[in-house]
Amino acid sequence: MKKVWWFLLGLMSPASIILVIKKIIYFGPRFNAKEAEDNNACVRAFRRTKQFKCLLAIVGLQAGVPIFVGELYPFSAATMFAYPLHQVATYEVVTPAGETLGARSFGLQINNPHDPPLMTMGRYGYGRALPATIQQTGSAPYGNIASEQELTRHVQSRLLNMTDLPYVTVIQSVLGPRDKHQVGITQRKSFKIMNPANTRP
Amino acid sequence: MSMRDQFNRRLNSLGDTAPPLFGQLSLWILIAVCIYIVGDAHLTFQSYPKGTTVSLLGYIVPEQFFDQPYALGFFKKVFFVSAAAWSVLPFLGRTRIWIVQPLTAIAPWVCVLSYTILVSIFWENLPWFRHKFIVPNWVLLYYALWYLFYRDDIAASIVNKKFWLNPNLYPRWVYLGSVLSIALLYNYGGVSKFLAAGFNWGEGLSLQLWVSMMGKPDFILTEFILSDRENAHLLQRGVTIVQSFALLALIPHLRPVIGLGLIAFQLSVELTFGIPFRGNIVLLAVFFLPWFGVFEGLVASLKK
Repeated sequence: MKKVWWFLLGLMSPASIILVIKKIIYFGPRFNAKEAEDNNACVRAFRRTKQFKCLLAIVGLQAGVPIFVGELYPFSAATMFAYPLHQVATYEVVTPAGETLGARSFGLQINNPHDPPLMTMGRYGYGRALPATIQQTGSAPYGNIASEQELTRHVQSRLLNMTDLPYVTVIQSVLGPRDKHQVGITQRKSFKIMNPANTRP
Repeated sequence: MSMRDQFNRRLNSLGDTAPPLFGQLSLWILIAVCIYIVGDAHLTFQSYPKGTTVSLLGYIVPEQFFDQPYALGFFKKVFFVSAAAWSVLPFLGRTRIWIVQPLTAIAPWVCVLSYTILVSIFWENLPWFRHKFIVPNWVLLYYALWYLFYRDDIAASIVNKKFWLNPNLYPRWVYLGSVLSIALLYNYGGVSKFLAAGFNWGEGLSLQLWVSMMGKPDFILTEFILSDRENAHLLQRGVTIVQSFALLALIPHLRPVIGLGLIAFQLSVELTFGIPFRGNIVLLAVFFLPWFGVFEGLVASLKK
């Protein structure tokens, strides 16, 4: 019985110095060094088992959550560069005055070209949402080249807030395989897109 | 010896201990790495619309918590103070046990939790992921577990001024847990590529496109990759193999080779794309190169 008490007290003990005091209080003159040593070994073995179980649970979570649940910091699967590109479009927007505007102001930019699509492998997006872009549809967001109709519809929706511009010229450059060895601009198209909100003659 | 006996023997060897010289030095390096990368945590994109929940903390605290402009700064300060307290613990030999003992148990956990919370706040306010914060977080957790499980022995050794050469203080599982955390991140990097694109991932074209969009134009590797698809193909296949087999680093003989491969990979990513993983490079060098054995030998020779 004393062994059990001593075992439980050993588990609760926060300091080796307090353990020594407990030994004196509970065992008094009958304190036996060998018995105490046996009990300490028993406590150590029990603690070791507890520690291993705790470590096993941590390793299990660390290995399982990123694959079976998703991106949940600090559980992560580092998906950078996972989704391969086969071609990609870049855009320039030119005003009638010849001024070049940023693709971002028309939602034509490329967000995170090195990260995989946001909706794969348990990933549902990032902490904050980047400005929407035309290059975000389908399973391979940056590999789809927008058609003239898609581009016109998209740019015209943005032009509604830019009544000063009667039209813009959008230059679409497709970066892809030029031959078996190198990549480069394989296609360059220019679209004149009228502003439906511009009422000036 | 049967497989079961071998497994049990290996499992028991995880509890084998060594003097804490390597453990404490690697802990200081780890804390230095954490302090260095925490400097990059910011709230620049806090005004962007909220996306999705990307951290465990995001499911525990209300969403409004992440809109607070002061939370990040507060937890950075808590992290710096607790990291400093944890770092100086071995030098508190002149202090009383009742001060050292609670500090041994509390400081590491305040440090790990504040780091995890501040990085979670950063990620919840970021329109991409910053994977360089993950490995230090896990390694920090294993070191905090070490200090928790061995708090009595560590505190007694510090107070008795026998910390550095005490052979019962640094358990093997701390070192292997750190190796596992690093290896697992890279292994999953390889696995995610297979899940996304199968064996076609490494065909070279995608690497050429990424490099032509984001690569530093005058760097020698940029020119090498863009000059021929075969070169890109070779490098991409190499990356897939090293990443996918990173877990083999748990085998001691293979660890340095995999470590050097991963260091080369991270250096190439930083020099070509300008995406820094300096913290990971330092931790790879500390845990994958055979320093643990070197320090064990050093302590043995000091004892003689």
